[in-house]
Amino acid sequence: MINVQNLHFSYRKRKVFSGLDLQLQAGHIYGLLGKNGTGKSTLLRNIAGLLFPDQGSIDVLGHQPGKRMPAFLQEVFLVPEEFHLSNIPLQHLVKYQSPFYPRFSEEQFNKYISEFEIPSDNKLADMSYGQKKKVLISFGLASNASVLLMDEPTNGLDIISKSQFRKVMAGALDDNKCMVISTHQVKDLESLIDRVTIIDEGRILFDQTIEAISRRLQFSVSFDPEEVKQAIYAEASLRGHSVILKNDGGEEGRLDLELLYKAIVLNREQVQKAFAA
Amino acid sequence: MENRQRYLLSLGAIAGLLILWFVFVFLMEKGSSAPREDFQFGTYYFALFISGSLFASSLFAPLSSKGKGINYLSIPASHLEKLLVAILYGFVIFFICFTLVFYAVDLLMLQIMNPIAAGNFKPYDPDNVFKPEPLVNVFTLEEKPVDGTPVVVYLLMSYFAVQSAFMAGSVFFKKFSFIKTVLAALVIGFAYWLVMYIILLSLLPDGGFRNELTGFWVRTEDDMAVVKVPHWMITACKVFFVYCIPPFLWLASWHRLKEKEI
Repeated sequence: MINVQNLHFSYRKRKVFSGLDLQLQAGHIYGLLGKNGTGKSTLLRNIAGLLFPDQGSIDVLGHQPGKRMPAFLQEVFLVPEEFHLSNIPLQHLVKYQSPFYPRFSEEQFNKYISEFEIPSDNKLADMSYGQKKKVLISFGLASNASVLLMDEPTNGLDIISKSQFRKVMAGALDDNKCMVISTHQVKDLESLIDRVTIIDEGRILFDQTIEAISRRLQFSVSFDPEEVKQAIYAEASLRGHSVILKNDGGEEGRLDLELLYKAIVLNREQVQKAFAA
Repeated sequence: MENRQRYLLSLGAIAGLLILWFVFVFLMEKGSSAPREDFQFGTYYFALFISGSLFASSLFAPLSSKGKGINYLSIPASHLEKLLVAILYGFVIFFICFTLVFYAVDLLMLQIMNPIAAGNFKPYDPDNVFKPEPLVNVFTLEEKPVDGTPVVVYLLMSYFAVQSAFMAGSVFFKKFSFIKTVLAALVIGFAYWLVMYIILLSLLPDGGFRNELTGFWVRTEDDMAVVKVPHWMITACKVFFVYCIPPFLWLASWHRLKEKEI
C-alpha cells in the first residue's frame, strides 16, 4: 500500500533521511516511534505529499504523493500535530468538507463524535484543543480514506479521551485501511498498534510486529541479579529491575513498548540477535 | 464559508472608508459641490487598486501557516482548481462586490450632498444655475481614448495585472507578502528599466526620443530622420503588456502552488 524506497530528505543543510526504505500494508495499525527530531512527522508529510523527497521514491496506492492529485488526496487523510479547523459549526464542517471524500460516512462521523462525547451543535471555535482534535480524528476516520496518518494524535487528549481514542481506532480498522500513528508517547498506543517501527537518525532501527515481539521477547520485573545480568536490557525501577529477556518459551506475554524502545535505542544489537535466532 | 465574516467586514470597511473620504472632500470644499464625475472616477480606480491588491495578497495566506497550509494543500482538489477558486474570488467576486459597494456609497453620497450643495450655491452670474453632480459611469468607453483604445480598458487591464502580481506574491512569499511583492515589483521594474536603458544606449546612434517611444530621431548630416518601430511590433507589445501579464502571472502562481511544501 505504501512503498518508500531509498528516501533522502533534508531541511536545507540538516539531513533527515539518507536512504530510508519502508513498506506498509493494509489491514495494520503501525506505530512510528522515535526521539524528537528524528523525522517521524517529516516521513508522514512525505507520504501525505506535503514534502517532496530529495531522492528516492514514495508510492502510495500507485500514486506519487508529491503530485497531490485529487484521486490521491481522497485516499490519504493526515491528522497533523499542528492543525487548523475553520470557525464554523460542526454540521457545516461535514456539509462543506465531506463532499471531497467520496466514501465519507456521516453516520460513522456522528458515531465517533458521540463516542468522543463531543456536543454536535457546538461551533468549532468554542471547543477546546482536545475536542477539536477529536473532531478531526472523527472526520479522518469517517472519510474512510485508505491511508490514515496521525502525528501525535494523543497530544492534548486527557486520560479518558486517550482510552476513547484507542477504542475508536481499534473499531475503525479494516483490511482495506492502513493506519500510521507517529508518537513519542508509546504507552498510549501499546494495546492499539500491531507493528512497531522505530526511526532514529534517518533510518529504520527496528521494524517488527507486536506478535513477533511478544513471542521473541519477555518483559518482566526481576529481583534476581543474575537474571538482570543476562537480560537483553535492564532498567532499575522502584519495584526492582524492569528487564527484557529472550522469550525461550515462545509464548506471547505482555509488551512494554517504552522499555522496548529504550532497549532498541541503547542496545539495538542485543535486541536484533533475539530476532535473528 | 469560514471567510464569510471576514469578507463582509472587509466590504464594510471599504464602504466606511469611501464614505469618510467623500465626506472629507465635501467638507474641504465647504459643501459647495458634491463629488464631480472625474473625482468619483479617480476615487473608484484608486480604491480598487489599493483594496484589490490587499485582497489579492491574502488569497493564499493559508499557506503561510503550518496548520492552515496543511489543511489547504490536503483538500482533495487539483492545484488548478484551487487556483481557479482564488481567481474567481479575487478577480470576479471581489471586483463585482467592490463595484456594488462603491456605487451604493457614491449614490448615497450624491443623494445627500447634492441637495446640501444646492442650498449652499451662490451664483455669481444670474445665468448661473446649480447643476447637481451625476453618478459616474466608471466603465465608460468614451473617456479620453488613447490610440483608439478607451482609457478604461488600460485601467482595468492594469488593475488585473497588479492584482495578479499580488496574488502571485501571496504564493511565492510566506510572510509579509504584500510588502515583499511591492519591493519585488520595484526591483524588477528598476532592473528592467536599467537593462533596457543600457541596451538602448549601446545600440542606438546619436539622437533621441521626442514625443513617443516608438520613434527614434537620428541626427543626419543635414537634418533629422525618424526611425519608427513597425506597427505590428507596437501592437504585439500592447497586446502583451495589456492582456498577457495576468495569465502569465496566473501560470507562475499555479506552478509555485504545485511546488509548495509544508
